[in-house]
Amino acid sequence: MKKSYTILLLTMLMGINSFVVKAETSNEASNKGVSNVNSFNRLLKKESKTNPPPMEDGIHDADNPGTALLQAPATAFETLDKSKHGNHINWVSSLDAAKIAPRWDRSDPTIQPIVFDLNIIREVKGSMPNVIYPHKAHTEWLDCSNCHPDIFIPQKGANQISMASIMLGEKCGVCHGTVAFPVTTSTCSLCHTQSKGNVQLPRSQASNSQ
Amino acid sequence: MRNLVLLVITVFVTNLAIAGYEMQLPIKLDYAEGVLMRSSTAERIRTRGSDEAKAMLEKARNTYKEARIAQQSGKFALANTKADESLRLVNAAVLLVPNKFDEERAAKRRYAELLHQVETYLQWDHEHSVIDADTQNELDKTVIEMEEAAKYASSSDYKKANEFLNMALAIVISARNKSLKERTFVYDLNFETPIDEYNYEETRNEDYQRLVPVAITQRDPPAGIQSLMQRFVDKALIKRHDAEALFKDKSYEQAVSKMQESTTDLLKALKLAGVQ
Amino acid sequence: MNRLSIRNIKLVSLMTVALLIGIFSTSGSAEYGDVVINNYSDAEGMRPVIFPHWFHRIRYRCKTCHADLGFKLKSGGNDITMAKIIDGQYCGGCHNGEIAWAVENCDICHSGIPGTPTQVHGDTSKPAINKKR
Repeated sequence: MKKSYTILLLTMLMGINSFVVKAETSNEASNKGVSNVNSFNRLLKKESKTNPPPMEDGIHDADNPGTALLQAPATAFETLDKSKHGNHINWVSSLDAAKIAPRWDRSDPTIQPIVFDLNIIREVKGSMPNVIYPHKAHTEWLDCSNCHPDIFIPQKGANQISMASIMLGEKCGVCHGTVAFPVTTSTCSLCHTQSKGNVQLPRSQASNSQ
Repeated sequence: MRNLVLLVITVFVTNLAIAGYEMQLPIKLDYAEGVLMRSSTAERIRTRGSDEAKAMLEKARNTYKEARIAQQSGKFALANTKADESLRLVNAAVLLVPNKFDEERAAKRRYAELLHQVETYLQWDHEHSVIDADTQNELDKTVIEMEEAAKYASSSDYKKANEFLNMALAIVISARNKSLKERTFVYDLNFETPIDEYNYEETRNEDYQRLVPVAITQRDPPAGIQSLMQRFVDKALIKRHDAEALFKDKSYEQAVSKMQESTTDLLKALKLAGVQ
Repeated sequence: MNRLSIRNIKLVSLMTVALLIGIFSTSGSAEYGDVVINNYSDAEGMRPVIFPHWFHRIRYRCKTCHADLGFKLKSGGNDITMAKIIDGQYCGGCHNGEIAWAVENCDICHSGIPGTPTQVHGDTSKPAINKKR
């Protein structure tokens, strides 16, 4: 009997140890936004595991007192446009709808970005729709020098981009897959937007003779 | 058994008792010491700072010494507060005596970056722009701003030069934006020569080759699938060699289609791993 | 001792629950785009830094850090040290007590699980991190 009691005590201590540290330092903010307590969960769906608060997100150390001071993403994301990928926030539409007002200049809040509105259509092999790259959405956030010329040479035919290179973290993959929406099977249509229909595109003589 | 229980209880209690700042206090104090006594930052404040900045540094140093004394007598909370205060003071001092050397170096780097940008967009091929009087006006203004910037750059005042270059960049991009003939460029896959098409196919093949090991690590397919994938990869490599040989023989069309076949095999291997 | 007594069953189930609560209370993946910076932290005995892109993205556009402050677009590609930060470079460009809070708040940045290597969390191109995706 004594043996089982001590084993029980040990396991409970292990459990409570991590539990208490979290319970002591967790606050309202970290629980808000993850679930709506008043909604009727008829389908008994599991609570969303997206945008977890720092205490529970797997890379922040829950034993660190500073972690409890950090804002939970879900709180900040409440008013923003949602999406199904990455952060689960549509940053571009949130910016357009003025739900966020990030500064272009560190010290001067009035300076506006120099937006360049040019779409580049990249033809794609096979039946996948062509890619339309919008400068406008990107230049709202980025400086020209962030991409040109280190990642993309601003010249037709000078950049060879394949899905493989993107998934390896090159070209578009420098950002898309790390900090901007990731390249997964559910995000194909965010870039591949121009369907080809039945148009037979002209090829060079080499492929014509196949 | 009882000893084990006691040990566990002690660990548990100690865990709760050690507040974060106690564990970090020695590190914070070492950091403060390094910054206040030995760093180039402190040296800069001491030699080139205003009286106000020097006074702040002196106060920061004294506060740090008080923090050490508090630490040694076990008053950890007080030591932590003093350490924070000393860091705050030196921070305030740094704001009064910014690091001109690194700032200039960063400004020089930015100048080169901006200059490259402005030059590129100034010389961008005109077939896509409608150069009317207004646009020409803007482009001329850009050149004027660049020349102003160059004057400051030649006397190494890169910070001031960048102000002009930022203006130049804003003007040239806005001019290009307004004067674009159309809002869309089409980069199609029509190749000038079969050699171009071969090079394109070759790079594409290489990219997919590099993706295979990444897919295996990420998706972790079972051993049977992996060996099947390997067979496809081997087939692909043989076809690639054939394609390269055909290219050397100048049978470009066949080289291109052989290379495409090789890539198709690689795609099959990747599909087995679950990569589309 | 009767192994299958009610008391023993209760004990065992209580044990299991306690254990499970302890082990499985950390779950979920961190916020996408969080960068773990562990250039020197482990060696100095500090927790690695977790830089949250989302928090900064709400307040600043990419250009303010990646063009104006010289941050390279690559995790581990910036040699950030505490000496440089207090001197006003990199993070110190804003975290200087004026634009944002300053360096004495160690814990708020150094909040990662010790030993985590430098990476962008959720990076879909690096193996070993994102098997789920």
